[in-house]
Amino acid sequence: MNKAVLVICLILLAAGLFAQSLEDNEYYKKSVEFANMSQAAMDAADYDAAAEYAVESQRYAALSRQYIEDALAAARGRPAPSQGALVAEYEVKLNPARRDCLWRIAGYEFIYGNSREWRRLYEFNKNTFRNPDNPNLIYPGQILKVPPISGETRQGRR
Amino acid sequence: MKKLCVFLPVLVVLFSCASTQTGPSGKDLAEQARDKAVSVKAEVAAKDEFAAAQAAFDEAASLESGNKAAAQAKYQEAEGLFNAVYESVKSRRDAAQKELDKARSDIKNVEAEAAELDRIRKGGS
Repeated sequence: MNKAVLVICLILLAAGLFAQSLEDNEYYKKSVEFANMSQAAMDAADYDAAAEYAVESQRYAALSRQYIEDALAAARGRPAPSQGALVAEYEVKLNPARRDCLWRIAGYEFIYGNSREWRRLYEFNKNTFRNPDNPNLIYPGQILKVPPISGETRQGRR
Repeated sequence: MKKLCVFLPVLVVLFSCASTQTGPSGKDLAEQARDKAVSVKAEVAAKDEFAAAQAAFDEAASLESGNKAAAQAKYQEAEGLFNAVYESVKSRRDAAQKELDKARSDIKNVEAEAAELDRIRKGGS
């Protein structure tokens, strides 16, 4: 019985230590997953595969870092989104220097001002995606509808 | 003095015998090379190359009772093959380890930034 309580306490402690910002960060999860696959390949002496998985892990870690840095910038300085500026639709832009993706779009002031809400955009729009199972594939010119979070007024398109 | 004159040549002979001891045999060197290759799991990472080296080693062992010179040559060949497979696998393993270390370091950096983000969101500055 005591052991069970101890295990539960440890699980709760671990959950508390895990940064909340990582919970919704799919890139972070992928980077960890690939790092684990790389370690498994190392253990199995499949060194070429291990190197490939590690490079993939680095790629996702870089995306993950970008995600968090954007959220950090938002948390540090940007004002709260004003009600009047919220839009009902967003047209995906072509910007090679700062590629539009759902978490970035969700972070815009006139959308939600919070990248963590990217899944809301995805769930609401995925039926219009070329590949509904892949939230990473959106295309310039694609129109995304922005569902309200708590009944706020939204209008127009950007 | 007479005794010293008798024993001195004997001691010289004994020391010279000790100093002409032979080094490790070809078989020992081949076994050491094989152990090195196994230490990087070459038998898994480079199955065919390792098998070729092992075949040379086995052939040397079979020659040992009859043709010692041929056996020595084969052991040398096996040693060379084991060393080659070791170097090749080790460089692949080191490259993979370097990438994995970088990936882990990147992940740690992301976790640190995420913790900072959470701190700010919870009201820190």
